[in-house]
Order: sequence, then C-alpha cells, then structure tokens
Amino acid sequence: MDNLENGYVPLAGTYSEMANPAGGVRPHWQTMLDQLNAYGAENITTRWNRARRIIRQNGVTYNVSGTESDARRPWELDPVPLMQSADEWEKISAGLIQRMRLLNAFLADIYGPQTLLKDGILPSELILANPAFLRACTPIQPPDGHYLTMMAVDLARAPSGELRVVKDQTQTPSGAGYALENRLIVSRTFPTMYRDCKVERLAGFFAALRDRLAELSPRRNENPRIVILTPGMQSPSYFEHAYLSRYLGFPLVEGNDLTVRGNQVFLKTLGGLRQVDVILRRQDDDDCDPLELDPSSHLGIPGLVEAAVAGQVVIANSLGSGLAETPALLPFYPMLCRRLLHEEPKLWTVPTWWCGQNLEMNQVIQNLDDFVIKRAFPEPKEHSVFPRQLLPEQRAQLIAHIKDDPKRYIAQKNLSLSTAPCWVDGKLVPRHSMLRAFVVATRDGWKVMPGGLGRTSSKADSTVVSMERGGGSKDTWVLGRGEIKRITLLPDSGSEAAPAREEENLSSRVADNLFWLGRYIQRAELQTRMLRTILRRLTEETQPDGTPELPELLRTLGVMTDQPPERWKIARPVEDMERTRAFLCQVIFDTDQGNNLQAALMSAGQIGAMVRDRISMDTWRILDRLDQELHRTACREDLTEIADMLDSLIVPLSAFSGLGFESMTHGYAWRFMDMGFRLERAVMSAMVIRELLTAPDPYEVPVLDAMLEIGNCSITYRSRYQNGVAVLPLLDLLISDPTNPRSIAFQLKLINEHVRELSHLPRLGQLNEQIQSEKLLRFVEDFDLSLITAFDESGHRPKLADFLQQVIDLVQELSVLINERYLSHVQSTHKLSSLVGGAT
Amino acid sequence: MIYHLRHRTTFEYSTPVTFVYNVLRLKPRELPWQSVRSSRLTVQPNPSVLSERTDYFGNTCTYCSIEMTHDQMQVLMESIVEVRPRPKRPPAAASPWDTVRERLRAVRSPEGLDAFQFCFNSGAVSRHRETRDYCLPSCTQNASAHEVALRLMERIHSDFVFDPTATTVSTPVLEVLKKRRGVCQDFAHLMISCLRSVGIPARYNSGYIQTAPPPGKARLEGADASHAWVGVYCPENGWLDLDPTNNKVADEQFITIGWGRDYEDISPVAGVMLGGGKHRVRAEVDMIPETEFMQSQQQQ
Repeated sequence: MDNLENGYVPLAGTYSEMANPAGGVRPHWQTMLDQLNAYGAENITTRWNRARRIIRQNGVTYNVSGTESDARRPWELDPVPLMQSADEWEKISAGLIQRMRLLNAFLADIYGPQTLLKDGILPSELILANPAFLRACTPIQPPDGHYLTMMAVDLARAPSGELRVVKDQTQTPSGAGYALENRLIVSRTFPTMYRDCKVERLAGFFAALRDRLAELSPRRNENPRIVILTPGMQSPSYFEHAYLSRYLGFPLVEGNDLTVRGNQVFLKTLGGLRQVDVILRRQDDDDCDPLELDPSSHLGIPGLVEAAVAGQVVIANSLGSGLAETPALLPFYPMLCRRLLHEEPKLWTVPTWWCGQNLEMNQVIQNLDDFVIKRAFPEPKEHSVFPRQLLPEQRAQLIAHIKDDPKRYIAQKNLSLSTAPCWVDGKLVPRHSMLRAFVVATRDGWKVMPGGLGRTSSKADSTVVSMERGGGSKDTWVLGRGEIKRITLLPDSGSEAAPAREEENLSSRVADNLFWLGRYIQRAELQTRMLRTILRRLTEETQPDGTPELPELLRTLGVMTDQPPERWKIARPVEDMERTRAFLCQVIFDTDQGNNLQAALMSAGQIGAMVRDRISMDTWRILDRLDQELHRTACREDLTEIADMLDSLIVPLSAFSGLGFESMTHGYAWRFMDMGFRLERAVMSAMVIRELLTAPDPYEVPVLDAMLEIGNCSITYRSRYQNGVAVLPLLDLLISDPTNPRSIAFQLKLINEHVRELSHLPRLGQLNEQIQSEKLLRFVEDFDLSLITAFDESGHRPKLADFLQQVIDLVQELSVLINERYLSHVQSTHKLSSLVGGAT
Repeated sequence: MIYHLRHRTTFEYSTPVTFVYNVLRLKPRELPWQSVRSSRLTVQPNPSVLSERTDYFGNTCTYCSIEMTHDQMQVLMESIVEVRPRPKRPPAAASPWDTVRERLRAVRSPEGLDAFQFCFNSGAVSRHRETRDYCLPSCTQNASAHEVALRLMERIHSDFVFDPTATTVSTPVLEVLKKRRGVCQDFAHLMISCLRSVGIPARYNSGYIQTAPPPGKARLEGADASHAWVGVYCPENGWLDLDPTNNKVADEQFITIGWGRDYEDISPVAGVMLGGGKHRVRAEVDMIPETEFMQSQQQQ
C-alpha cells in the first residue's frame, strides 16, 4: 500500500514542518508517520470519527462570538500531531524562558522605578498613552517580583525555518487546557503511535502550575484556598476555565462569588465565607475591580485592588500585567532583553514596526502592501487589516487613520507561515500552522510545557491562523530523550480529574444553578411523558371505543405549560386533528411560550454549561444528547415522527436522575440538583392528578389508565391489583406510597432528607425550611385518602382538589424558603459618585 | 491665607445598603504654596477598613469600606489649610504651542515625563475634531501654551453658561460643547479636551474656591462647593492653573486636593455599593477664612 506521505506536496514558498527540501521526511516525523501508515487511512478515519464524537460529547467548545447561542461550537482538532525534535525543543524552551523573564522584568520596571522611561530606553508614549498601563495597579507588589506566573507565546516559523514570536499573552494566557484535552484525545485514539513516539508528558507542567499557585499564598502556614476566576459563559474559552478547574481541583468562580471584607477576599459558599488566598484569573485586568479599574465592568470584585495592594490576596497574573502584551512593544523587546537581562535574545520577533515613530511610519506608508496593519495597544479583539486586499478608497482611509494617530498602529511583515500535514478527506494535506507555547514560573526557575497548542488554518491558501477565524488545532508532540517516566502518564479523564475539593466551597450561585437544572430536567421529563401519552392515543388504535379522555389530557397539558385555553379547548381532538397538532407543536417547539418543552430543555442545556465543572461527564453527555435529539427536528406535520422524537428524549431524561445518583458524589452539589428535581416532580404530579381527577368525568377508566402511563407505574399497579384500575389504589400509589419512586410522598421524603443534611452546614441552626419540610411530609403521609375520593352531588371531588392544592402551595413555600436560605445571595451593585460644583 | 475647610457628603439610599466600597480623594495636597496644618476624615457608619495611600499622581487617597446594613452614609473631611501666593517664576521665553508635544516626546526629566501623560486620551476626556476646531482660534502663531490656554479660558467663560441643571457627572464633552452649558467639571473637561487636541498637556484639578457671601449678608452654611479647574503645562514655565468657570488664574482663593487626567482619577468620593436602589447625594462645603472663623468662634 502507498505510504501516506507519498502524495504529500508541501506548499511552495513555505517551510514544511514534515518534509525536508530533498523530498524526504524530517527525522523527528518518521516514527509518527510509520505508525500512521501502520494504522492505514481507513482505520485512521474510523478512529478519528470516534474521537470527534468524544469531543462533541465531552462538550469541548470554543465560543467564537461570545454569545450564549454560539456557546457550544465544537472544538476543531486534527489527528496528526505537530512534531518537535528534542534538540530544537531545548532551544525553544530556553528562548521561551528568557522571554518570560524579560516580560516580567519589563513589568517590574514600568510598575516600579520606570528606569526604561527615565533613561530614555523606551518611547514614553508607548507606556503613558497605553490604556493597558493601569496606574491604579502600581502599588501592588507581587510576591518575589513575579508579575507573571504563567504566560503564552504564539510562535510561527518563517520560510527560513526560524521560529519567531508573533504574540505574547500575559494577562489571561489561554489554551493550555485545550492543549491538554487535545493530548488526551489524540493519545487515546492512537495509543500505539503515542507510546512508540516516546512523547514528553504534559502533566508535569500542570503540577508545576498548581504547586506555584500554592506557593504564592500569603498565608504560608495554612492550606491555601485557590480559585479560578472566569468572566463566565460569554468568555470564548469558558470550556477551558471549567476544564482547568476540574483538572487542578480549584473551584471555578465568577466575580459575584467573591467578596472583599476588610482587605481580604472571600468566597461566598453555602457554608459561609471562606478566605481566598490565590486567584488564578481568566478575566482581563480592567474587568477585575469596578472601584479602581474600569467602573463600567460588571464582572469585577469591588475592593480587589485594595486587597492585592494590602498583600492579602495574590492574583496571578498580577493585575496590570496585560501591559506586557502590547503589540507595539514587539520591536523593542530585543533591545530590552539586552538592557534588562544583559543577554542576547534567543527568540526573535516577527518583524514589526510601530508607527508612533516618524521614520517607521513613513516606511510603513510607503510600502503598505508588504504589511499587515494591527492595533498598537492591546484590545479585546484583534483587528488585522491587509492593505493588499483593500479598495483604493479604503486604502486612503487607512493611511489617513495612521497619520491622524500613528501611535495606535503597528505594521507586521506578511509572514508566510510554515505548513504541517493535516488529515483531510482521508489523506494528508498541507495547512499553515502556528504553535502556542506556555511557560510557568516555579520556585526556583521556570518550566515550559513540553508541547502546546498547535493551530492550523482552515484552508490551504489562508494564512490567518486563529480560533476566532475558524481554524483548527493540533496536539504538539515533543520527542523525549530516552525513557519517558510512566508515572506522569494520564490514563483517562476520570483519574486525572480527581476533584479534591471541599464541599463547602460550593458557591451559592452554583448551588442555585444546580437546583434549577434539576427542576428543568424534571419539568421536561414530565411534559414529555404527558405528550407521549397524548400522541399515542392520537396515532395508535388503542381502545375500541375511541379515546374519550383526550380532551382532558389536552387540558392538563395546557395547564401544566401555561397555555391559554383557546389553544387546548378542543372538544373532539381526533376529528379536529389540525388544531390538536398545532397545540402540541406549540407545547413542544415554541420557545416564546416560556414554560414548555423546548424552553425547559434549552434552559437545562444553558445551566448545564454553566455548572459543567460540577456535574459528571456522564451527566454532561446526557445534556448533550438531549440537545441533539431536540435539534434532530422531526417533521412537525407528522405526528408519528414527533412521537418518535419524544420516545428518544425520554431515555436520556429518565437516565438523568439515575445517573445523578450513580455518578455524582452525594455532596451538597448533588443535593441541590436533586432537591430541584424532586420539588418539580412533586408539584407537577400533584397538578396532573388535580387536573385529571377532580373534574366531573364520565370516562374515568381511560383517564386512570392514562394517569398510570404518565406516572410510569402501569406495571407496578398491575402487579399489585389484578382487577381494573380504581381511584383509591391509584391515588395511593401516586400520592402516598413511600416505596413508589414516583409518588409525591417519595419526593417529599427525599427533599426532607436533603434539607436535614444541608443543615449540617456550619453556622445554621434549626431552620424554617426543615420545619416546613417535616410538616409537609407528615401531612401527605398521614392523610387518609379514602375520605376525599368520593364525588359530591355535582360530580366533583372538591376535597381532593383542596388537598392537592394545599400540597402544591406547601411545596412552593418550601422552595421559597430554600431559596432564601441558600441561594439568594446575588445582589446588584450601584455606583456612587460625589458632586462637583453643584452638578447633579 | 488660612482656611477652615469642612466638606460633608451625605448619601441617602432608597433601600438599605449592605456594603459600600469607597475611594476618597478629599485631603488637600502638600504643595510649595499650600500646607495642610491638620486634617480629619470621619466616615459614618463606622468603616471596617480605612486605609490611606498615595496614588500614581501623588494625591492622597483613602480606601474605605462599610460592611453593615445602613441607609445613609456620611463622609466628612475637616481640615485647616494654609495657601500662600504661588511662586512667580520670571516667565522664560516659551516655545510655540504647536511644538510642545514633540518636545515632550524626547524629554526624560521626571517633570517632563509626568506632563507628557496629560497629552493623551483618558477615561472621561478624549480629543475630538470638534474641540480642536473650537480651540484653534486661540492658537495664534508662536503663542505659548499658556497664552493659548489663557485665551481659551476667556472664550469658554464668555461662550458658556453656568447651569447646574444642564448636565450630570457623566455628560460627554461634545454634548457640553453643543449645549454651551454646564458646571465647573464640564468646563474643565472641555478645556482639557481642547488643549490636548492641539497637543498641549492639560490636567484636571480638584479642590475648592473661596466664595464671597452676597454683599451685606452672612455666609450661608454649606453654601460653598467643591470645584474643578485646569492645569496647563508649558515646558519652559511649568504648570499654570486656570479656572474657566470664573475666568481666573488660580491664586490663594483656591485649595487644591489634587489632580489627575480627568474627573475619574480624582473624584472626591467614588464608590460601589451592594443593594440600595437609588441614591441621593448632598454635599455641603464650608471654606471659611481664618479671620472670619475666629470671629464666629468668638461670637458663639
């Protein structure tokens, strides 16, 4: 069989990572290629399809647009690793470490004595006009002068083969978590290839980061509390934040979860306030404190700068360190390296000109087509302009902009990026590639991640390599020297994720989300069961005498989902099929109608994504499957197809409660989720019984049958009672039977248990919700149902209706009490400002 | 001149507030022409933290947080400040206004580096074509930065109407320019934007100005206000403080708290509160010359 590399033609004018100019393969790619060939094209494709499924199911995402709707775009990964030889990697590592020392020394100077400005080394405008230079952060003294705990560097290879720095990331270096996830997927998909290549492991890098964060703690003698601060779901790399949180075992928090008291920082947990020592932040400098940094930010923690100045909390990287990633500094770093470190730079930068100098600006304008124009100061989104692609008037406008405020622009040489092989349509094809490398500070030096996040362009001719623009990623393999130590091997996500965190760290916000996740899932399940029961009667010939109970079922569904009566009041549903279908579709698909199936599933998915560091991988997969099923839109005209869709929803929905039991530790997180789940089930069951059994109905038997179906207890019932269905035994089964996992009493029993367990949290005494919960359980268990099942003269069951309404009210009250106790801590903030000169 | 200064700011909230975090910039600065003989800051309810530091611009700022439920907060700064005539340097031959920014680009003295940062956009004040156009008539050929600024001050004073109802603390400069109305803060921001847009460094000063009671009437308690004016830099002659609201060069009637790039750097009380709904602010300032203060003490 033909070797995979035989048909591979590198792009002309670029450096080929894999092929040498003579047409052969560079030695450090050989073993990997041999292994790929041993797998064979077909096998690779099969394995890779499976891997892609894992990526999707694991919910590895990169949120491109920053909107919630786009929050779950799957991560793009290529199966072919980017290979690095041991010799070259040693040089790269030395260069990366030097770069981190350099940027750190730069920050220490600018936030300190500013000799670079006083001695005329740097154009002062570069700092003084730079919005990333945060004057409020100058009093912060990071421990041992380490402004940077971790940083990322984007490297690209020029046609000459030389690696060059394209970009530094110093404020929220992202991608290390994705690199780790890439490694897990590729190594599991091609285990023999991974083993035979003797690849350097990544785990040591993360262990170094974890150890370093612990060392940074200002309270040296105690067990430090370290948290990861995320801007939340709208952050493009939220997945990574949650992933690192699980991997490192540090709670993932948002600004609202933290509070400054005195000059210390605390995490708001269910058990009260817990002091935080170290914050690994993934939030931009400016967003961290609305009091002393950007006052318009809603993500920050008021007082955080003061706490950092007081040395009571350490923030990594230090606030203000975004200054070092200023693109306009790129051309100055080689000179700064000589000045600050007294060393020759080991890594060079992509040729860059800062237009803030007259000579440079004129050169750039004269040779505009040779450059890509970017912003000089850090901005949240990159703006790259390729003058070559501009129309004449756009070009003139660009020149005018540059001349108007030259300091705001840099020009970089169009660099022809190197190419690496990617797996496309069953063969290897060349794509432009870049590497994001990571460095972490350690107690006695620095450590480079042996590997990194390889990134590739989406098309052969595209030179824009960026996740925002839809490129892909690659695992990066650094070949080891000699034997790789096995102890650092990461066998699977289960064992590395060992969440060694205290339950008390559960924040109120997360508990609230879990509570509602449980409610929405259960709401969706009951609605699905109800819908299925109805659809079965519409599509199957179930009873010889028709389906007289249908109007009642439609009404119940309408009440459950808050639909207006004109939609569900259908006297002859089978004959009036079009209206019936329209109503059912409304309940299933219409997201504007608040309380229906699609809305419940969407809410569950969104909340699930917010708490994904708290739920098990299996639970996450269920949420993903629900999402899939829902989008596999059945033809809305065809009731049989809709019924099929509901059938396929019910399996993951039912599995959810079971899995929660199985795979989540029974700590507070699980208790809140299950409590939401049980409260919803109790209320909804009571509502269904009330709607179906309290109104006069000449067709009681078919209604009772339907109730058994909705309650999913036909089998239980029939095994106990041989005769037909009767009201009293049915009510007993659905309401008070403590052994039926679907009965109301069963839900109340579990809720009562949760409430009791939660009261073990510190600083809480005998609680209102505990009293209420006990009362409710007794009320339902002790009730003599036989007293209230009889019809009155008008054919109603008013006593039963009263009873059920009482149950619903009591459960809702309990829900409010629980919310007040544990969950309603999020308060809005307002800004104060004083008056000047009579302004109002 | 010696002044007895009292500045009380009262915040009243519509619903109780659980936490407030503040940064206060209320303590007058030590300057060659200004000495603070005593100062006392009182915050009520009792703050859990009250810590003083010096900010990047050299102003004293106080971080303070209140961690108890309250529906009213009061910040009182009392100080005794001596203000002397500002030292008059014999004016040196000054370079033309349009060379200032280029000169500063190369200057590395601490004073020059400090001044240079006031050439650029800041949080609340950007340079605009419109403010540049408004400023240009004041920029005659070869005029110094101070001469340009003096003319600009006169024009702003005559073109604009003092009107406390026209603007809020966050009204943008361009709106002020359009409305031709505002208060001292607006005029200061406008003047800063004008000067920076033609390349002259300008900073925002926060403090107080002595007001005379209406003729024949007694001084009303709390009737003074905090004030804002502009500092303008000329490489040869340093900083000149100009008050566009009163068309006045700052003198012994001005007490300086400090300065920054704009209001956001030096606002007297900046805070973030949790809860509280709407709030109402009341500020009372008394800036009483010592002689008058003694008389009133004797009468009591």
